[in-house]
Amino acid sequence: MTLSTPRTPSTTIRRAGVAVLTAGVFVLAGCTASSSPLPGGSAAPTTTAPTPGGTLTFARTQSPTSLDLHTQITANNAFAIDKIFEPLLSFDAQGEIEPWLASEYSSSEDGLVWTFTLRPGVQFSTGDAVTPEDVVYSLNRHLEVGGPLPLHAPITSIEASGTDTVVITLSEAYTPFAAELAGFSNGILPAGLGGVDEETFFKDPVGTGPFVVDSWTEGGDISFTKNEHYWQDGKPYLDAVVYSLVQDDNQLVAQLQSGQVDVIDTVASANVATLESNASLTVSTTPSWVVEEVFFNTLDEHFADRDVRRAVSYALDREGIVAATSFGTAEVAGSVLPPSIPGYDASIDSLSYDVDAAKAAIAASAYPEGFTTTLLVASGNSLRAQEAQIIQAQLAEIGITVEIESIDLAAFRERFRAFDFSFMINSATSDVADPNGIVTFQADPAGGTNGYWTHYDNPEVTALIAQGRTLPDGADRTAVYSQIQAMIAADAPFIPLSYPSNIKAAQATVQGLTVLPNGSVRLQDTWLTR
Amino acid sequence: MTAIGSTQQGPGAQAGTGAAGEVARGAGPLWRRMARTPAFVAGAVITATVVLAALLAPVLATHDPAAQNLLGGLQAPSGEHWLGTDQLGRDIYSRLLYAARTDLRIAGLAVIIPFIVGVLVGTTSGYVGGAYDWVVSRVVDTVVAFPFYVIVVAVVFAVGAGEQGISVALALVGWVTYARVLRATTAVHASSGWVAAARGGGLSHARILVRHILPNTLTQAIVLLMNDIVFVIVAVVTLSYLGLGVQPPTADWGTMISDGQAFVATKWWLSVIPGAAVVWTGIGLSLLGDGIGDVWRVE
Repeated sequence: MTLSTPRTPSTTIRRAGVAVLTAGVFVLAGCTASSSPLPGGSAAPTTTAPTPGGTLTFARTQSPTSLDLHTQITANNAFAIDKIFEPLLSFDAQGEIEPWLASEYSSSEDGLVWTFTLRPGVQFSTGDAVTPEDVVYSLNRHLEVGGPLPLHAPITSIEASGTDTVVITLSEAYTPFAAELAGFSNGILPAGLGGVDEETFFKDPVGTGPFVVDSWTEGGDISFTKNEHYWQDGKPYLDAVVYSLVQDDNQLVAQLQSGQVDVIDTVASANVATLESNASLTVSTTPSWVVEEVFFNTLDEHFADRDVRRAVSYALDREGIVAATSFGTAEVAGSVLPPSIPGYDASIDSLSYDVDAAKAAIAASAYPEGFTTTLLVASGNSLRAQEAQIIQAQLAEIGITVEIESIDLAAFRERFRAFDFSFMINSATSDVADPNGIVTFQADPAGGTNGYWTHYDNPEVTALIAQGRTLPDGADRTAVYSQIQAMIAADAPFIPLSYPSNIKAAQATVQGLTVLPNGSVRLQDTWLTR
Repeated sequence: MTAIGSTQQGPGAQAGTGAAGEVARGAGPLWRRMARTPAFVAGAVITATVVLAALLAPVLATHDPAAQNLLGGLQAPSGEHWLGTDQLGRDIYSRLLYAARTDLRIAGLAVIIPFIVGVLVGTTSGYVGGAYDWVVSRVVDTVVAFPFYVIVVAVVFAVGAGEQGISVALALVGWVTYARVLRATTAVHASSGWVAAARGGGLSHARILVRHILPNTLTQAIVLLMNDIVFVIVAVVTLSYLGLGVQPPTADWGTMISDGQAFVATKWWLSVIPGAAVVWTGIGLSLLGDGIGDVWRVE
């Protein structure tokens, strides 16, 4: 189990990262160097200085159920957690690792000893200084708890040294270590939870992040107030942030248009054109670490058959799906890794659309006459509803009768976590710009999510994943990941459909909303014009 | 409907004992009354267009309503696709026709059971009275106390989305309306002199109920039925709009409206056309219901 990094998949959007732009002034779209088409109009990057104050209402279709960073993985929780707790390292809008609570870090020549120097002056929201002991406690707790995003690095010791240094020793080289530490689940909390029990602590957590919980209804809205002791001077600009729970993506758009909310967490691709035409709104489209996929429960009687899964892969016209549903905001997928992650290989055989091959595969399977099955999707997501209908029609061509079961997002998560599904449409999001993360949680049986709830287990792939963790960055490591991608595509435990963009929309008064590739936003950089 | 109508007694028959004897009377005058009632005529014509569209969908449709063309989505109306195509490239005109089938079929099925149950329960409760009536009334009051959609959505969640869920949910809720009305009108008749006279003349309770009282109370139930169909169609469309109703790929107006919602600003017809179909059907059935009431109230 020394796996590595992982991240999680969540259903949809995940973590929230907030990145800050260090320099401060970006505007919504300004975030990445990527293709960000921003919006329409008004929000062009401004040169005015940020104005402090105000409350930002941020609408999402999901709400936090737990703020325990060590036991959570899905976006509803992750992107609340990352406003409260911060890790030693972080990553920016381009996915580049950057120092965060540690102002410097280095590793020994052999990659076994990692030294982190804490940034001077960092305090918890209580005003207490962050000490090396807090770091030791936090990482040890994560090692103990494990959770869905465990620390996979082969850590043998975590020690405090002096007043500002932490030394972590590994038993063998672990290339993705810095990337792993930059995940939200490696945030720093006060040693001993500040003396309270876990339940109490995670109701009103203490961290170093830009915001602290003000009030929270489990499964409903959560509001934050600014952390007065935040380590970045003058930030956060906002006095408060409210995560408002909204029923579905049509409601998100309606509430944004009517001015009830300032930012919406996700925009259905079909709505992008409408929002862009509204001068009082801005739309941000940035590259993401998200992969939209069909996931099979490989314990299901039909989908346990590799030929059946391959038949489905051949039967799906991914070009058509992307053309009909993305309105130019997504790319056709082939690999389990998105192109924004190093190691992505576009050249693998992804079993793309080929009806004859699909028929041959189903004929070779245990179900040559086809069968009836159920596709599980979360309701309230217009993209998934359309994708499901396409999949239903295309699988009918090879004799597979698909019933679509559309259930509420919270129930959907319960269902797939209990392996109570045959196949589903969902998305996976890497948490780090390293290929180890996504392949670990999707394909390593010890990755924390049982292959993203597919129960996929191919020992050869598992061995390659382990190899990828120890090889230093370079051609050899890249070759290993190419092999992993090809083998996964051939086994087809999941079928990547598309690589969507992160699409968010906001009132034009919202400035400096940095969107991270994992779908989170850095709200400490955000301010409101009056 | 004519069959039912012809057995119907006008209120004038109440005074007599022998409503049944007059069954044959009505055809001529009834038809004339119908023709003279504008609401009835308009309602019948409008409803007929919808029913015909539904019945003849396979003939009238130009495309397979479920056939997708992923590269030909969201086309504007044209010679090839009279009302354009939806996001998945399906022909909207053809889907509209098949959706009429779906929605009328579900609505028809979903009102029949509540109608029968409600009429039975209401009539017996109004006639028998006593403890039975008390129990029925409390049950009815309880169901009525819940907001309609709250209880329907809850039932659909429990039973599962789809046609079956809709039918069960609407049946559980829908019968109370009939039961209330029938109970009240039956009670009035049951206490009247002609019923006592009929009993005195040796007629059984069953005969009095079925042959004499029911013909006098059923009119109201039928008027109610027409309005209820409208209501149920709207409910089916609403549930489908919420994703709890008709499941894909079956075409229905609610999912068509819902699917088109994202494009309201740019391709308004996607939602407006199925919406207009719902309105048209609703107007037709409402007028028909009113018309039937008018026709039978004339005397």
